[in-house]
Amino acid sequence: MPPDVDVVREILFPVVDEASKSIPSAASLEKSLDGPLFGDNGLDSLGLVRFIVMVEDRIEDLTGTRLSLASDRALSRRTSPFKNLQTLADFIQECLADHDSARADSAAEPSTG
Amino acid sequence: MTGTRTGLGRFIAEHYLAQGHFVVGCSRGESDLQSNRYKHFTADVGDERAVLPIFAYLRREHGGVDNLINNAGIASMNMAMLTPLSTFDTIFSTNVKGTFLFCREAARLMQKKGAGRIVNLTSVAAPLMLEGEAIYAASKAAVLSLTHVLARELAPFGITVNCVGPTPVATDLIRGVPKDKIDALVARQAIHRLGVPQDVVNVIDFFLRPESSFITAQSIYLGGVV
Repeated sequence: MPPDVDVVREILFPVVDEASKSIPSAASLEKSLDGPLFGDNGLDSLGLVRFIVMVEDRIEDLTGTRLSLASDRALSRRTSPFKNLQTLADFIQECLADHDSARADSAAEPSTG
Repeated sequence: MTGTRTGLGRFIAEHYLAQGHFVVGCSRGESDLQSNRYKHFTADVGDERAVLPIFAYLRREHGGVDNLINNAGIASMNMAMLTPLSTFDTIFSTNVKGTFLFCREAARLMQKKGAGRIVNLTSVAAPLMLEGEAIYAASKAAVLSLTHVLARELAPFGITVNCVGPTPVATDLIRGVPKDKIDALVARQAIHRLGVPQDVVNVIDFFLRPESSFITAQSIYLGGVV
């Protein structure tokens, strides 16, 4: 991931702005790190799906990396990454770091060709 | 649209080009289809790394996709006891994983517009439970299941998902199948003849029509197979 990408301000907040215009249940979503993302005062289930797609597209646009945020890893957590924007930002950072690490390991493997 | 290089897929692609659509197609090999409204990708439909760039292109250059036709498919005829497991992997990768992958990626784009049409190709091999085609028939039954579940899942986003099940059509797909096997299959249809590409296109046209927005989770088998 480019080191200067701010996950909250460059990925999540713009998606909240976009979502509030196109997803009905996102109308009351605020650019607040600890406000609920899902459920009461947050997105409904269909809205969350669309929101996650938007976030993944935004990540791909800015970093060139395609993540699948709704992975088994995310869904098995005691605290859902989709609880609020802060937990989501932390999870995205973690996934991007793992992705970079995996790519570095892959590049470091000796060629067998 | 997948599997556009030869056979039925080529015919379908040319049909929609003739209707004025912009067609983005793919196949394992290069295509010689010439049109300024056709863009070809060389990709294995079961390979996510090869498929994602197709949808990145659609998002970037066309702002999305209106229709998806999952035509790519491979078949293999063999007795189960003699079939190598690699055949299972190859057929399921193209017929099932490929179909799912394209549905997933197309739906991600379509949901933004609140509309879209997906047509998957299944086969009469599934309902006829053809002996000698266990893996192919199972893969096409999986496509049928996928179609029905996705239809329910994607309906709230304005996306319809249907499938068409052709009878044998005289294409490369059945070139290696013995004539007596084809004749026996055709005999089990209500209408005893091989299909032609236009039979398939007719059903796809129906599913893609704007008036078909209330038609989803449907499977139409040709030739009177139920």
